[in-house]
Amino acid sequence: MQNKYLQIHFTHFKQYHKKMFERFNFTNDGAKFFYNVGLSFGFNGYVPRAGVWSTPWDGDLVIHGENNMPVYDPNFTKSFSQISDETAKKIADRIDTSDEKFLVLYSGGIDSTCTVAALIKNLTQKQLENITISLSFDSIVENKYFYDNFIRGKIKIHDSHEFDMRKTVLEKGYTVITADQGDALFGTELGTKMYPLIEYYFIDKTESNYYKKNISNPDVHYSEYKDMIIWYLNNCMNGRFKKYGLTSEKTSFDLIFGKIYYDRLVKNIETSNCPVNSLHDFFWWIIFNIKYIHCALRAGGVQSTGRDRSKIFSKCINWFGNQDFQSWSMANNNNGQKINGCTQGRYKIAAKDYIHELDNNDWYYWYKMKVPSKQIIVNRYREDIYEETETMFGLDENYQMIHFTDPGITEYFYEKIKSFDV
Amino acid sequence: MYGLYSNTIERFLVIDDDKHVLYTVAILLTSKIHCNVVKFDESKINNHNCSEWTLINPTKLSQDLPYPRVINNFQDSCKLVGAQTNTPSNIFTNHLMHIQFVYIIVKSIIWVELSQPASFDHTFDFINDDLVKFHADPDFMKKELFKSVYESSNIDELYQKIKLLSLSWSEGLRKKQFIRNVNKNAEQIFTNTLYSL
Repeated sequence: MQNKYLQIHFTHFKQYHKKMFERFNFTNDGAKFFYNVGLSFGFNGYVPRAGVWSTPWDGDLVIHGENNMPVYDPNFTKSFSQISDETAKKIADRIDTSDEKFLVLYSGGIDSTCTVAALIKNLTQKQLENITISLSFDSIVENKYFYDNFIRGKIKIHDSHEFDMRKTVLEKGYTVITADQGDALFGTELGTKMYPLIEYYFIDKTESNYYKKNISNPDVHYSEYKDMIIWYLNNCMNGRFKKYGLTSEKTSFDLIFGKIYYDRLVKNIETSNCPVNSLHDFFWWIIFNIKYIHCALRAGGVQSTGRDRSKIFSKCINWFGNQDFQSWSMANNNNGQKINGCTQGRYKIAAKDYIHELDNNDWYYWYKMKVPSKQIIVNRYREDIYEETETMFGLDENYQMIHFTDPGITEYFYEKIKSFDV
Repeated sequence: MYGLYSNTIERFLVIDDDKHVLYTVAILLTSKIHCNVVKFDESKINNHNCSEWTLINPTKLSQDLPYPRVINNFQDSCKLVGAQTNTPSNIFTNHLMHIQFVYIIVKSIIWVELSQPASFDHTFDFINDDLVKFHADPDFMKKELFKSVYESSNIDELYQKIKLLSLSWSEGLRKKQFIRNVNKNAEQIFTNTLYSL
């Protein structure tokens, strides 16, 4: 096998990978662990950008360009607003110089609303004529105020149910803007869904108050939450295990999944060069490091079709993926910019501030909660995409989508998984 | 009993024994605050204190859609934890009042549908008699009122929208009177939920 890959493992476990695992009936712990990671965290992001983190495909994974993690710079001083404005102005320049047309994937969620807000703030009316917002009914419901006041009748719209990266880019000539990596900047709902459970896990009121209050306090190290994190990671697996587990009952190895995963994360953190102190840092690091590539590549990956994705990726802009945003994310832990409080309404606060400067919508500012809306909005009616994702294996370094059905892939998968150890 | 529970602030917002009412409220609030309708069993919770109570294992609730759901078999426990910490209290008080008004209006409309399906008379005295007389079609009225509720950002705006539904622009409908009449009606309709303003 000569290929190098940008990412392996696009497919959800209920699809082809489960069939593969059932077919080969792997008995090694590495295979079981790898399967459980996929069960626990959905579409599997398993491409480390920093630190020690072994994968079945070690040596066969490469990272391109801006997807590399910047070197941590504690003196990085640009604000979130400044970077947002600069990113929008680069789009404006491209419109002025080449009359480029852009299509923005808009769910109404915080990240995509922030992106559209930046374009509205920084582009002239004439430049905005080159912008089309791809949205659905769901997008309008999720942020009706913004749609009514800033999009309807002001910016061209497109029905996202018709969206296909291939057609949009290659046939219609759009450059696609996606806000997929907002989670990577701010943390992840993997964390924000755990924080309310502190009330449940720590029965003693003084104890639960202490742990809730300090989720983003750098002086309260994430290891103080160790037992709860392990319990929570196990819980993440439990729900899907019942439905998609390879066995009906958990083995003794399955029962310690949370501990193995936690220990690997700690080792990864300790061998990286970025400070990870608080509980929120801990969860942020999972998505900023381990899962980052998945978020960066999924628009041209699972939301597109065809083998050759090179032109698609060359015309896909990850709004939050540039090096400045990443540097901002690394330099702004624990200062209230990512999460300011312990509730889900206080998550992604820098983005909410930026949106609120434009729309003054207090409801959205105080109560909008992260929901994984994009998959619903883009893919809901796309059966042709589902058919292709069924057998997706990975994206090679030349942006060619490789499928399990390609010659040699099944054998490659078998050998790699069989010899993987934890 | 059912409660409108917000994962965003980790508190109940209103409670009622009619899940249909709460679900309708949740739908109308979708673009403002994400809520689910949950079943609970805690007799100490009422509409005066529910915003100080939380579910202790709220992640059992689905958060994977931007739409509300009704969780009928939810068997969680509740905990008195005090005022919410997500939003400054002065701002939250106004928002909660708005949510409660939405709840009152929705409950009133559904109550009329069930008890006096041919007319909105009497129940909507607090809005305006002329309104009721002019819009004799209850379905139309319901639609217009729900639309007003859905599109309003605060009580003042809601009041203005309802006022616009009225033929009498200059008489009858004063905000204080509106609120007083809402309270009066609430007493009749909401006895089963310990509601009073």
